Amino acid sequence: MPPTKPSSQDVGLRLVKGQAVEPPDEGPATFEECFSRYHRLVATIGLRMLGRKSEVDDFVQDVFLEVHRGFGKLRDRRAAKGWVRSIAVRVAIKRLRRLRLAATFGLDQPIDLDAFFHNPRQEHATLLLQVYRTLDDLPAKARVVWVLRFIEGEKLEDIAKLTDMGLSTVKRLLAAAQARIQAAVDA
Amino acid sequence: MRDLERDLAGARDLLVVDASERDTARALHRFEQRRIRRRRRQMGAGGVAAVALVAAVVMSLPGADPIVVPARPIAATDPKPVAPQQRVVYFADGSHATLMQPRTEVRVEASQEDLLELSLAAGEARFEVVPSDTRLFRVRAQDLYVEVIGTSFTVAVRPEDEVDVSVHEGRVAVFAGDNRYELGRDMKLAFVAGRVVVDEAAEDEVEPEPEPKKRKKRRKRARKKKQTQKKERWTALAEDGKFDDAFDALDRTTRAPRGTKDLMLAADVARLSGHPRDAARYLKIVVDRHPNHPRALVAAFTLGRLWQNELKEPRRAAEAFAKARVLGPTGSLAEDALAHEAECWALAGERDKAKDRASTYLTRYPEGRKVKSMRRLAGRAR
Repeated sequence: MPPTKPSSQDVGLRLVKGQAVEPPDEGPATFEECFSRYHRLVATIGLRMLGRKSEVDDFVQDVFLEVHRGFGKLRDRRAAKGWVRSIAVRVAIKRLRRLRLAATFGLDQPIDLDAFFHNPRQEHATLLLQVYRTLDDLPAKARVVWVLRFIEGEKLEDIAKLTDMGLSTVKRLLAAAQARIQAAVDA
Repeated sequence: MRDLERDLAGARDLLVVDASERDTARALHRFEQRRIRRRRRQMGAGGVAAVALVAAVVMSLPGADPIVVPARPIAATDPKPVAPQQRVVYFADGSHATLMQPRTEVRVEASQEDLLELSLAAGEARFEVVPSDTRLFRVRAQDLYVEVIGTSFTVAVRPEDEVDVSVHEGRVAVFAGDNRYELGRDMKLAFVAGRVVVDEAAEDEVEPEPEPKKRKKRRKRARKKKQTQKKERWTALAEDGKFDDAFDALDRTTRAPRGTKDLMLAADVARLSGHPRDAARYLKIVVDRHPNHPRALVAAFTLGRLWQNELKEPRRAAEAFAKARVLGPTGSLAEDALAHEAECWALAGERDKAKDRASTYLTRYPEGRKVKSMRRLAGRAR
C-alpha cells in the first residue's frame, strides 16, 4: 500500500482546498449538546459573579436545570448562547441574595485567596481579592451589573437586557458600585 | 487614582474556569443524576432504569482512570462524524483516544508523571494529545512506537502486520527498529511486515533523522541558542505562565531585576516555580527599597503569606503583616493583614502580642470576617 500524503478523507482532515471548513452554526440540537457547549461559559460566569470557586458547581447545576426546563420551548436554537447567559445572570442574582442572607447569620464562606485562584500572579490576585471583598458588601443587582461591565466587558445596553433593568437603573447601580470599588482599591 | 479598568484587564484571565471535556462530561453526569433524583422524588418511585442508563453513559475503564462517554465529533469542524458505537477514552490530563472500531483495543502500559504509554493491540484509534513539556505521550503498535507532544493522530493496526500512522495536527516521531521518522501535519506512514513503505510523493516529506554526528551538532547548537534566548526572555516566559522555565532563565541572567514591576514578577516566578525563599528575597527588596510605591503593600502582604504558609516561619510572617498594615492602614487588605498578624504571633508563641492584635481587630472590625477566631485569640470566646 503506498502510504503517501493522505487524502483529506483518509485522515479526517478539517481542510478543503486549504480552507478551514466552518459549517454554519445552527445552535445546539439537544440539551446534552447545549450543556457541553456552554458548560465552561456558565462556570466562568458563576466564578465571576459569585467570587467563590466552591459555589461554581452548584451554580452550574442550577443554571442548567432552568435551561433544561425551557430548552424544548426555545424556537431559535441559534440564540441559545444569549439565552443561557441571561438565565445564568438571573440565577446569579438569586444565589447572591442567598449568600448575603447567609452572611447575615455568619454562615457564608469568606473569600479565600488560595481557594479562589490557582497559581495566580500576586498583584492580580490581590486586586481581585480587594474587588470581591468590596463586591461582597454590595447589593446583588449592583454587584452583577458591575461584574458584567468590568469583568465580562458588556455594553450598558446589553447589561440592561441581560438583567431586565432599565438603562438608567443600570447606570445608577454601576456608578455607585464603581465608586465603592475605586475607593477600596485606592485606599 | 488607580486605573482600575486597565488593571482588571490583566487580572480577568484568572477568572476563567478551565473546564476540560472530561470535566464537562462529569458535570453533565452529575446533572443527569440530580435531575433523575428530582424526578424520582416527584414521581414518588421508580427511575431505576434511568439511573442505569446514566451509568451506562458515563463509566470508567480500568487503568489511568479514564472515562468513556458516547463519542461525538472531536471538533465542530470535523467532517468525519464518529459512529455511535465508537467510544472516547479520556485520560487524566485531558488527552483522549477515540476508538474507531468496535474491536479496537487500547491498553495503558504506563501512566506516570513524565510518561503516558498506550498500546494499540487491535483496531484503529485517533489520539488527541494535550500539549505538555514534561510528559511524553507514546503509543505502541506491534514493533512501532509513536511519540508525540501536543498533537492529533491516528494509529491503525490492519491485517497482515500492517500499521498505519496518520497525523492530523502537530508532529510525531515514529520509531521502527533503529530508524526514526518524523511526520508532520497531513502526513501518513505505513509499516508493512517490518518495512516502512513510503511512496515517491511523500518521500521528501517523511525524512529519516540525519546522521548521528550532524544530529549531535545540531542539538548542541539548538541548546546554545535556547540558553541565550532564555537569558533574555525570562519575563516573556513568565508572562506566558511558564514559571519553571522563567525561573531557570532568571537564575542564569546576568542582569538582576530592578524596578518594582520586575521584582514583583520575579517573586511570582520564584513562588510559582517552587522557590519561596527566592520569592521572599525579591519581595523584601520591594518592601525595603520602595516603601512609598503602591506595590510595596502587595509585596509586604505576599511576603507575610509566604513566611506563614510556605516557609512556616510565623514570626517573620507576623512582622511582614505588621509592615503591610503600616503601608496600607485603611485599605481593604488591612483587615486581613491584622488578622493574619494576630494568628502568626500566636503560632510564634507570642501570646501577648497575639491577644493585643486580636483585640485591636475586634475593636476595628466588630463585624469582620474573622471575628470568631479573633475572639478566641483575645480570650473573649463565647
